[in-house]
Amino acid sequence: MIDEKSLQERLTALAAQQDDLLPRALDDDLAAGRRRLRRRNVLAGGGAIGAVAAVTVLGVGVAGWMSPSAGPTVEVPPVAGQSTAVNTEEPGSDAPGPGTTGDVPVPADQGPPVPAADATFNRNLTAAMYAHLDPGKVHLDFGSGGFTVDRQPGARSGGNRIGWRMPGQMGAEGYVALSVQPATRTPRPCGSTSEPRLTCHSVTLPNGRTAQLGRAGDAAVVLYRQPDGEWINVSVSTLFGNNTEIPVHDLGITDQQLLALVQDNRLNLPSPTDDEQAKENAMKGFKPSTQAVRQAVGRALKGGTVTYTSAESVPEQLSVLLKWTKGSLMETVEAGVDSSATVSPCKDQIGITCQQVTLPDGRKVMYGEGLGQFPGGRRYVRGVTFLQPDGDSSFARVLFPGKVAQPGGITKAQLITLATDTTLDK
Amino acid sequence: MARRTRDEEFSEYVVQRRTQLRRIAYLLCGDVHKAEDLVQTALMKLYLAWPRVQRAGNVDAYARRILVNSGIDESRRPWRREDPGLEGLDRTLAEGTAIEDHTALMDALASLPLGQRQVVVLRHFLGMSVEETATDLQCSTGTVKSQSSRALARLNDLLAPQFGAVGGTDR
Repeated sequence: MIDEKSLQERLTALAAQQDDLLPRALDDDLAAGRRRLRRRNVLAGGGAIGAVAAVTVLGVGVAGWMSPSAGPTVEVPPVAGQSTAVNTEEPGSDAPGPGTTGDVPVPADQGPPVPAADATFNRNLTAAMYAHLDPGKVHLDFGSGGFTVDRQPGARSGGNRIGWRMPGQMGAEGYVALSVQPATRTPRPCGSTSEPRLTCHSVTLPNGRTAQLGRAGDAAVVLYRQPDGEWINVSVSTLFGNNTEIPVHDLGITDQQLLALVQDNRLNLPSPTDDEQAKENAMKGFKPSTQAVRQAVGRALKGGTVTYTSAESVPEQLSVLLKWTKGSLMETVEAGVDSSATVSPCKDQIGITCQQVTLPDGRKVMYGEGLGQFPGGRRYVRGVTFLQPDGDSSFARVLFPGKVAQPGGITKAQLITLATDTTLDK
Repeated sequence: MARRTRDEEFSEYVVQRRTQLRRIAYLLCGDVHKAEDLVQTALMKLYLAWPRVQRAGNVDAYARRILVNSGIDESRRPWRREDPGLEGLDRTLAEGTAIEDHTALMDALASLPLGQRQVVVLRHFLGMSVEETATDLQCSTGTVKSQSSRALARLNDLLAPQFGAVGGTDR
């Protein structure tokens, strides 16, 4: 039997052999994160409350098929205590197709299956794409999958990148990315998600509506809003970088074909299920204002001076960071609310294990106190989460500067008062 | 949290952990380009979630779980159709390690179902406990143990010719 220590050594050696390949600068990782955060925050904060759920997660919900810098995975909004979506499906090792060396496309009916819930969506988009771009079925390669719908709350959209083969161009593969976004969403600017990024101009269609069109050689993009309000984005790239390093050339996809495709009335998102709609609704209007949180902190944490530091508002959570000082004491306070759709366990919110506490009035909170592991080392923490009657969850936490609670500092009772403040429950 | 603080802390984390994250991704997907994509995506998500994840004190776990749980869900060629090696790129092999061993090990990993491969990476590359692995994979400890057992048996069958000199009896 394989010795496990030896296995670990061999796995390490195997993994290490690629350490020096494809180096990437730290600044690039940082810039990518900043871009995504900026996009999310702008979208999250820019609209009316009623549009929050529909708009906000676009920042993170711009799925891999749209974003030039994103990896191929479907974006999942960060939710403490919940890992990203688990795909337990085994890779389709038996899928047909030429792999990375041939020029023959995998037809739609022979590619990896899409989830049953997406079957109609996939069938419609596939039919439209074949009809307008590849009626002879000699180019479109579905070996990487068909069209699927991202159903995460606040991020509904659907689409995918479909490979594009050219007979005789062995091993080369481009792609056509087609996506449908809901009417309630403000799409990213035309050309900003294509590869390469393109500058678009307006084109008036025979039906009187306007599309945005960009092109640079074989690469092209069209953004169009259908009469029902849904947004269609289609882009053409010469290189499907996930699958090959060889770009295709002379694709032959014309502007007229793309403009016809985006007008196809088969391109529609499926209606959300009741459960999906409920989750969407849960992200609407659950947040108190930052000012309300600050005022609640002021009411609850009397005896010290509260100084606002910052607030972080994302679709699923509002978190306000403050400093509390009293004489020589200085403690860090965080308070906020989670949407009912994404309530985090107390342990994740506070950083240590919590226990249920029943208040004199019968309400229950989760309370934790003790040493927790935080960046910079272990620190003493006290925190409370409170499941509000409407299912949202408010929380309050104090982080002490050292490994013990400061005498005279913020108390358990104060934190409970803060977390259960009725003004945090909208 | 101020942006400056987020950036500084995130940068420090990336400097310290990026190599390890890439190794995890590489063992999971078997392709250096794909691994790099996965790490970039994971770091982007991590940056977004930084305040909350850091507050929970589980940055490593969060980043690792992104990789492990989303690593194979992609719009790309299925695993076994990828060239598992580093074709076109220079190979840097550890001293005394035969390239055939690397190829055999990579092929063996590729032959494992995803769940077993995840367990192998977490348990036998990262050295995580059964409980920790179960937490990352959101499954029971019993599942981890059974997956690990099957994976090791499979690897043993496939790698005996290459690793013939290895004869542990710890199972």
